[in-house]
Amino acid sequence: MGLKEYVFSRILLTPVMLFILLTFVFLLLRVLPGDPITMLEGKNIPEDVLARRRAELGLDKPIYVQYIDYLYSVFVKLDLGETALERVPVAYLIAVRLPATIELAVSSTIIAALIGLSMGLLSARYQYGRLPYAVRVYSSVVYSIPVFYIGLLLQAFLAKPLGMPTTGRLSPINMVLADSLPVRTGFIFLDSLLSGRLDILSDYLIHLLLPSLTLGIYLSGVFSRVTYLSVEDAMSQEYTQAARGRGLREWTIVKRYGLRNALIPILTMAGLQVAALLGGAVLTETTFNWEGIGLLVYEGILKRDYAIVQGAVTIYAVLVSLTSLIVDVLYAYVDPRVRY
Amino acid sequence: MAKPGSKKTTLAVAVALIAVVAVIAAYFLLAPKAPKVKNVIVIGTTDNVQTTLDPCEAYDYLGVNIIQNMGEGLFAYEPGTAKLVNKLAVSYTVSPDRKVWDIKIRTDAKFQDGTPLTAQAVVWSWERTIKLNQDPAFLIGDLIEKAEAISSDTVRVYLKQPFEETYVKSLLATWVAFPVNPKTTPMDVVKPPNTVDMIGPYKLASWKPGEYIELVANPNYYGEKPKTERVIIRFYKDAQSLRLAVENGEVDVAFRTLSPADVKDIMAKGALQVVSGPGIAPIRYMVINVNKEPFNDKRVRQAIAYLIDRNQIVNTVYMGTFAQPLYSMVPIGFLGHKDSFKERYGDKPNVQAARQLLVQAGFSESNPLKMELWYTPVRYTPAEPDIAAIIKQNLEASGMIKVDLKSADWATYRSLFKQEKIAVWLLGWFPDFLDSDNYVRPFYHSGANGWLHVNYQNPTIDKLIDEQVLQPTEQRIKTLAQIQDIAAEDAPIIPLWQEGQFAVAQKNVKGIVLDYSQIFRYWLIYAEVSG
Repeated sequence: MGLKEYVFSRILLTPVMLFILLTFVFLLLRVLPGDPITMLEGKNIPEDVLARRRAELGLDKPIYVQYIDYLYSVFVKLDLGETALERVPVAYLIAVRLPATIELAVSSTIIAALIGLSMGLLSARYQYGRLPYAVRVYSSVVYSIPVFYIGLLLQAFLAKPLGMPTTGRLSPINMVLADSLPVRTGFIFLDSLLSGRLDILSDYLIHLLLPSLTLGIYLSGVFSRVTYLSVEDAMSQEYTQAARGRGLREWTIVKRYGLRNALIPILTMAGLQVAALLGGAVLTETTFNWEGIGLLVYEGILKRDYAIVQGAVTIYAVLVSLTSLIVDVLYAYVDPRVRY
Repeated sequence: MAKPGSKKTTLAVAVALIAVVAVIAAYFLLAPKAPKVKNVIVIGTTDNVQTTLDPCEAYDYLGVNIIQNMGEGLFAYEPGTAKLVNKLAVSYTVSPDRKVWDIKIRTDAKFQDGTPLTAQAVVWSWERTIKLNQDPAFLIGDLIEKAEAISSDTVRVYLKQPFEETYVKSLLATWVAFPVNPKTTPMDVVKPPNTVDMIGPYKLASWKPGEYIELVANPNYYGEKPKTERVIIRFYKDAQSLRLAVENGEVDVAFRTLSPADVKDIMAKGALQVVSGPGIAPIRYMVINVNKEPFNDKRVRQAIAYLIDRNQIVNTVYMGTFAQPLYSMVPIGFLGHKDSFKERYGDKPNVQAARQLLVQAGFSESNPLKMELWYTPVRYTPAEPDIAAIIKQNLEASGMIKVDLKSADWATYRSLFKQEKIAVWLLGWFPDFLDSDNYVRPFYHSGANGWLHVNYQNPTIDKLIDEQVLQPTEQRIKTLAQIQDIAAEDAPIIPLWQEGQFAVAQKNVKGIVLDYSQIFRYWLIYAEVSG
């Protein structure tokens, strides 16, 4: 099977995976007590008005009809629906919120890779000292504490003493400004840079620092661990011994023989981490009021807004399967032995 | 003319330069040091707009408050008082049978696009609200039989019943009765990110759902211009984020809702100002499903009423300043308020009396009443778990009650009491309109308290509630007192406290008015910048 066929078959499988996932989410949401209209209850609203609102959302129909309606609208009409109370298209909300999540994911992956790779490489280089133990402790600690706790620690001990902003992607005034910039992709980094608004860009970077550091630190644990183990493995191979025998410097060996051969497992892990990354993003976004898909899901669950949760999960699923596809394709470039 | 390069030219240039520098320097040095006013204010909140900003549908605190900054009705509350005054109305007459009102309206008021306000527009707006019949439509739908424009500046209103005067005015002052521009408003609910054209100090500039709302001064407003040209309302997910944002200066005013403990902390630090005012949004109370064993026994409910220490809640959780103990569902400051629970049960816990009642109901120290007390942690105050813990401690002080504290998020919570799976739980009430009727009917009238699942039915109280809205004010006060006394005796609902309002603001912010109207008036707020 060639690369093209492989990619094609993977893409064909995506709707099947989506179907299973959406069925699961659909059922899970219906098991939770309450429905989208529950948020309006506890007030004086007449019963007939509430009943009409439920009927407008199709909540009065039997559950299997709701299920079929839902699948029909997602897979046939390609429509993610509207939110229950505001009646805003979910696709619009996702389009507005997605850039924030991607920004966070990319920046925290960079941070995780920087911390993880350097720790892993350093401990592989000095593998007979104390460093590997320290790094091992670091990675297990960082990976086992909840990500929001890292966020709270950073807020309390870094942001507060320095007076750094800890909420949102921009200060409120700049948020409004950013939405009227000449270049508008939704990615504030690009928009402010291309519009020449360095003041907004710097405000953005300050706001981005803590959330991406939080998520980055969380993910760096696994990164450093996997890097260390695979580099160490490569370092004990015969070709490294030979290199050492030829009198190459230890760092050159680590970089040229260790790291390169370790890239495959690191890449695999990075691909698998996408799910953890997006899961961590939900918690990081809620901790820092970072208005991405994660915060949207969180609010959607609290409001029992089925359309929001289902829509966001769809996007998550597509993102995860897309990334793992990209990772699979990258293998072929990193390792010439890989054939599809 | 002097040649370029000559001494004269050099001199002229030098003089000109010096003059320019002097003028600039003078401008900065001599410019009035009087504080300037910032042209934009950022208000942070943990509330969000639940549905839309269309007055025919909005029914949540923040949505309604923003509408009240963009529109106004025929009557309004005077800032700082609980007094209803004419707003878009100029004068009115009531027919002798009290069923027909003729209201003369202002002729100088214009909508945002310059269209003048007419009686026809008022009537059209009311008809739209009633026809679309969204969540709050009943507020005028149950009041008005018919409305017509008898001239371009006079609206004739036919009421469904001969209602009492302040009751009528308080309903006509609600946002659902705000005139909207018939030329630009569709006969359908206007969805985010848009709103309708009303007559008020501000208009909507931009709205990113879930993130912020931006208002700018309405240039066609007939009244006084707002103190600040632009207002940004920024939404925060929780009290913690809001506190951080106001502390690092990203937000000028944090209003609704920081935890009282945070406010205490902020006051101690002294870097920000705390403005507080009387409040009724919400009033807090405990609901007891009177069909559930053993709470179907009135004595058990009365014992609970004897045991709760409202002062302890107010003093420990609200520092004694941000809330007041509440001894009736009708809050302090409202027509006919009476401290019925205080008269009936005292203002301190009475363990002796409670124990007697519990013994009569068949409980003892060896056979205590085992009950669950439910609360929901997010919807009202971040201090909810602390409050529930105090109530548990109060009830257990009797030695004959064992309380199991339980909590759930709102949707689960609502389902639990709707399906009558729980017996005792804490709730809060935000008024629909500022009249005592709105504090008795939805709770005690068996025809209107179905939503609450308290299952309380009492024909006497039903009859009194129906009568009071039709009585002249003096008589009405007496009837309201009777209603509150019966409610205290039966104790299906135990009023606990009314929450005061508090805003945390930067020190340069002025003009925050917090009063019984519960309207947070953006148009009065401004921030000074020195220099």
